Amino acid sequence: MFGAGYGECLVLHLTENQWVVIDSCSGVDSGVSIATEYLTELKVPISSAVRLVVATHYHDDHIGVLGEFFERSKSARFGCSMALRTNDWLTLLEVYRHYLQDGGSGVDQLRRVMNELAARAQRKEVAAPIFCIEGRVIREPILPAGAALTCLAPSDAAVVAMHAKIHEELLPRANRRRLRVPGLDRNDGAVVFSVQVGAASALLGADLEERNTPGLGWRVILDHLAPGSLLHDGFKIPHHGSPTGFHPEVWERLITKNGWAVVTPYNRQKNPLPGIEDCKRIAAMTNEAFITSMPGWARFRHLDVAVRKTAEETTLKIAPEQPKHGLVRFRRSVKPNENWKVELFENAKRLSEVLIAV
Amino acid sequence: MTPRAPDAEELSIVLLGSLNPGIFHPEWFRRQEILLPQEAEEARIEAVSPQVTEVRFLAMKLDVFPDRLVLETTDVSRAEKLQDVLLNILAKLPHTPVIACGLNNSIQFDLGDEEYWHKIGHALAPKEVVWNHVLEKPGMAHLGIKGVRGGDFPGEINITVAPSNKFSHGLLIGSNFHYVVPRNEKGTAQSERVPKYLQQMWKPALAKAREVAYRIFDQVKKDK
Amino acid sequence: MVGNISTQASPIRRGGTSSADRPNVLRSSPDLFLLRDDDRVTVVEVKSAGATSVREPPAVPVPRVKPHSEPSRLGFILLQKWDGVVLQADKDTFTAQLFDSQGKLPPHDAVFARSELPPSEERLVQSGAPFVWTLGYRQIGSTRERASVIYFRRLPGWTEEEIFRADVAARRLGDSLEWK
Repeated sequence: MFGAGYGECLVLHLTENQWVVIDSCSGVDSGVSIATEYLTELKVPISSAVRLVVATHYHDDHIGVLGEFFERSKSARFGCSMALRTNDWLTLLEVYRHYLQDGGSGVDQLRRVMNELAARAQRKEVAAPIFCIEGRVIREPILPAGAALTCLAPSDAAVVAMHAKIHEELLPRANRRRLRVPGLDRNDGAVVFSVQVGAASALLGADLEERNTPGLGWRVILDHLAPGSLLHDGFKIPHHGSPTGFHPEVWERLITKNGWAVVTPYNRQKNPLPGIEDCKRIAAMTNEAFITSMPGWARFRHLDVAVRKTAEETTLKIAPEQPKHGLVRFRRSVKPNENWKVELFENAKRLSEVLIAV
Repeated sequence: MTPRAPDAEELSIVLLGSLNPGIFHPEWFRRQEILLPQEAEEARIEAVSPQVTEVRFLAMKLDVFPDRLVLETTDVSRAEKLQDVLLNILAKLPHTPVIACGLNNSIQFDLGDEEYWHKIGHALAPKEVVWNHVLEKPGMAHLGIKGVRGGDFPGEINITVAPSNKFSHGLLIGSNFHYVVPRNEKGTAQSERVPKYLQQMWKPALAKAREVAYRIFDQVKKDK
Repeated sequence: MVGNISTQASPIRRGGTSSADRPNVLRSSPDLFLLRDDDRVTVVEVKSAGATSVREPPAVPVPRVKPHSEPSRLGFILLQKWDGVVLQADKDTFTAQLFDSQGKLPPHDAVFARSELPPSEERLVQSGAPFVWTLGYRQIGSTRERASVIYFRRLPGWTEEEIFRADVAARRLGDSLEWK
């Protein structure tokens, strides 16, 4: 699990040197995905070994440089939420070709993925995306034998709700103000996976939040759980450990007691996530909690004193985006009754260290 | 070390084409929602007629002639407002034939040092080979250098270096990003390319004069 | 250079000239600066005798001398410019991502109080809104003070043609990818 102050990327090895990458963020070289850098370092042939690239949702902390990585992953299928399977979404991507402001439109990377898929379709290669919705299972031949990705979300209701939101709130209309694609408040369409490889398992929570609304959020996943459902070894904590991403029943019914958990921070708001209370809440659920890098704003520096003073006087907060990543790596054999080995790299820490630091 | 900021700066956008100056009354800008009502009210009108229009609003000056529109400002803190106004003009008058577009930026530095000022002039226009032999006390009055620009919007870059008109021993560097709008097979200028040109070339155009200045300061040192 | 179309603008400010004084030229840049002994600058502008189009032959140039004009006593010395986009907004503040206009600094994030903005700008705060933030010195005569200016971009709205073309392209793409 990679994460910086902003951005996350999950790189899964599913045995036999076959890989799945879920979401993307930029590496040290901001033009390249962290997944590219990592896999290149491991000498993994990205063009043949990556089997699936997934965008759990369209928020740009999850799709940074995704287009670059997908273009390299010549053998990979592309997966995304069923919530994006609407002509309105494709129209939105096309309209935003004309958005030329700095920072991009917010969907440029997904459009780049579409362009790559279109090119593959032209070459008569398999280009149709894998649309993820509750109940869909991705396994052989896309994944190696013994591996499966089961979609727990989005639900049907979430897909319908998102289609309406895309149509009403995101799709540009004539004469409406030309803005970057706004991020919707809630991530109802986010893709949640249960991943199993042999006896190893993990629940990947993406950015799904609990909505207290029928048919949406974690409640619906819990309501649809069959008795005796799998208790996962580990948990990628949803929505940066926020209160809205938390549901105690998820921990009771889907995660092994004291299973490992990993959270990525999100600094790009007034009160960065996870906050202290969030960290305490997670620490109460498991002793094996980890964070990819410290939450919080870095220090603002500028060579020009006048700029520094004026900027600090004008803003409530200002800071460079956290460039440094952290990697929390979880490894185990797929055979039963094996232990996980956890390694921390760069800025990754045990969550308990965050609590001590405060 | 932070590169030195210019002591004065001006920006302008020039469109060449076929225009109707009489349209560009502040009231038109208000009705088209390019200016807020208060901004239109505060606008200063020097002239509005079918032959020429000169109006001032939002710290910028608009001059329109039948063959040319110039939008300029010395308030570079609001430079992008120039771009916004022009993009809106082009959006509201989409059939305006535009045959060329120029992005202009001039910056000036108060060198405050006559010797250094002469040193720069001499570095850019050396006197030994020609000028000392044909003129008494030759001094660089104006230097114009042209370059080409490739990419999606090929054209010219024209650089001007001259003594400043604001500071006694100052340097003026002007850059002009000139773009001749291509024509289609019927010979009509593809004016619809102009908004994209304005947006994509804005930053490079505003960076060029500084690039020239910093190269000069880097290569021609004061004390050496 | 005489007779070619030019889009250069004059760096010399001319105050209060009427349309009769204005040269009828396609190029509006001074052609020559003459540095006089008293350090004043005379500007010489080459004037075309008539309007020039790409089809007409170049007109005969006529030099015209213009006097040196008084330099402006107002100005802004630009130290730093950010292109920003609003990420989130509530009733009191907005959070934004900032990009250095010269591309030399990495992206930054910032939180602003909405009260920093004049009403005409404050009403434009919403998620996705692009803005510019410039920092520098405002020069008034011989004095200078630090200044910070935030203004929101007022880009033209989306056009029907853009949306129509996008819809057509989207349907074509959707068919090829079995997206529907």
